[in-house]
Amino acid sequence: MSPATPLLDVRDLRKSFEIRRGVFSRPVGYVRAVESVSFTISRQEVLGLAGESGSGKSTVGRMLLRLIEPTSGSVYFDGADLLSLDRLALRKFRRRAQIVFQDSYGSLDPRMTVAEAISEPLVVQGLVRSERLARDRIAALLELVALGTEHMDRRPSELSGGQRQRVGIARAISVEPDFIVADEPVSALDVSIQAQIVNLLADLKARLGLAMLLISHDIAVMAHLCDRIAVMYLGRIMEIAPSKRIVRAPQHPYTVALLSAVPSADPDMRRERKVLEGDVPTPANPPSGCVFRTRCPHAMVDCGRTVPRLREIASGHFKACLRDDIGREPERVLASCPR
Amino acid sequence: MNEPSPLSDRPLLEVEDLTVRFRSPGGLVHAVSDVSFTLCRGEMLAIVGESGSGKSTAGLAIMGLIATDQNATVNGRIRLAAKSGDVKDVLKLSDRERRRVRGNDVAMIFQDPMSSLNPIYSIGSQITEAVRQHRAVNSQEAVAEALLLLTELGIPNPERILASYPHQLSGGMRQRVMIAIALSCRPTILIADEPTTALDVTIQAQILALLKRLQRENAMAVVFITHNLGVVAEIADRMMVMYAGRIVEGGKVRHIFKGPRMPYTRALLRSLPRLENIERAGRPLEAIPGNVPSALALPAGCSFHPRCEHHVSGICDGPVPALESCGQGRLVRCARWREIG
Repeated sequence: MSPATPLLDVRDLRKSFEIRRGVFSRPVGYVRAVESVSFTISRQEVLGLAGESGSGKSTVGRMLLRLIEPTSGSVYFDGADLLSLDRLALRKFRRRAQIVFQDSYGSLDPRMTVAEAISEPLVVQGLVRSERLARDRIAALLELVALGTEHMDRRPSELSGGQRQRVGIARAISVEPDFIVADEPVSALDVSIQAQIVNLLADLKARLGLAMLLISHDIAVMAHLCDRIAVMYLGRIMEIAPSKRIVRAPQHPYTVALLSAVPSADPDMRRERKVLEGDVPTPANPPSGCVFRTRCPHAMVDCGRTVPRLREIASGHFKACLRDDIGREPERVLASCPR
Repeated sequence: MNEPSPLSDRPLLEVEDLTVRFRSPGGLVHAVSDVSFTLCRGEMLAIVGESGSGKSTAGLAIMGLIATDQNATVNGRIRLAAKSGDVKDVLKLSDRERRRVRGNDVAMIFQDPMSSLNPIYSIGSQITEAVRQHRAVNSQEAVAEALLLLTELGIPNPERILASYPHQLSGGMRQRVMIAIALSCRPTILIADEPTTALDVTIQAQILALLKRLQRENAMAVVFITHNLGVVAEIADRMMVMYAGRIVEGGKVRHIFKGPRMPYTRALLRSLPRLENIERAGRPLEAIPGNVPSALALPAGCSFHPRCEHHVSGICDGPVPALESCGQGRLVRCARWREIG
């Protein structure tokens, strides 16, 4: 593989879930959770997937690991077609791609000790024969996530939320993967603990050269960790660009609204913001054309006719919006941020 | 924090030395210790803290929802200026009197509106139930009142909402319905416990704007309990920071965000990733080391000292520092606040 090939190449990914009703549970409709999502992730790159609940961001993350089977589309991992892998090949793939979940309490087996939880992927992958033989490796992993080896024989209930998340991360990196999906890894943690885990993820990325898909609803955390950010709404990517451009010069009306809704921890930044009206429509019956048009302050008649395609508006900056006259200028945004 | 608000002559709510202990199999839980504050008409006071800081327990105690029994001890005074003109101590009222205060004078909304609403009754019947609980009106008048409430909250198509069931509404709409129920008897104080935590940011912005409008238009006093410092900066006039059951800092929101005095508040504000600092993304955040202490085994002295970069043994692990006044109506609980500036 040439180094220019992206580690992950996602094309036209779709997922619809059937809605079944009645005694014979006949399908009566479809929830279109993810609609034609395409993006790439390079080696050692962190891509953020931003969006509100129901935007399909977690479904995308799970499809990349085949924890959910896509309805259609393709995923190439290091050039290989992920969707054609059989069970054996899939297990091999899992050595290279892992996941960290939001709820470390729910994702760790309460009866397993820390050492058992961390060594389980190693045993499954056949890298070690048993947990006892892997003590040195577990100790090294614990050190990597800044947990003392005294935690090795403790169970999840004896750990704090931050410590449990460190165990979840150690478990994911135990098989030395190239790629990790981190699904809301800090959302369940206390504010004073979040920064610790954000730093840990940044540190691991630098030290292990991990590529990551970071799924989060917290744009500030994401802007801090990610090289690029993709913004999803109702199953579609609305905008994708380098993090700094997304934050300083968002071009899609939804991204503009999303950023404007984030409360700033600075009372001087308090302002009359443009509050987005209404709720996210149901993915079982999305609006025609641009899915955001029902809440968009700039919608025109044409927005209902065709689904805007993701087009490149500047180098590496893509948006799915018909209009070109509504983005925020980088200069203006900077001027309104007093140092 | 006894600085009177310009809007009012006397406080609506005075909490003095509120202390709540729970008995648990693991020992005595020091949930809330010596919390004192006042709240004036039309004021938005934020109580900020992490899980286990005692912020929600304090809110429940003010509502009279925690009483001394075999599992809990509640001490202190919670004096409330009722609409009738009397001043009542919530902790000394009979159950019956407490029920009258609840809803009429103080109302509360919670983080999760789905579990606060009854899934098998329509929204209409749940709002009218609240109205009829406290007011002598017939069912038609109650429905009219419910419609009026929803209209006031800016809810489009209120008739349809009244006929709906909780599962048919979005999270933001359910929280609006909870606010309508809370406001049904026109309380003077609203306690909002993490009301936007379960909501998406664009919906959070809608609910915050709504609460702000209600506070301004009806001169309602709001205690806004949250862990989100961004929300505090956005919405509140005054704030109290709680850590391990105690108030550790208090004052005007602007003052505290501009120059926090308590090392915990400082560290917390410094640790936040901020969109304004995107240029500095990539540098490590200034994380606070260690973990939040368990309320079963609090550290001696200042509860924050094991995590504090300024702690000095012999001082910070000695007696619990007092909540001292430090000018501009501000309070700080730190033995070393003068030295560390």
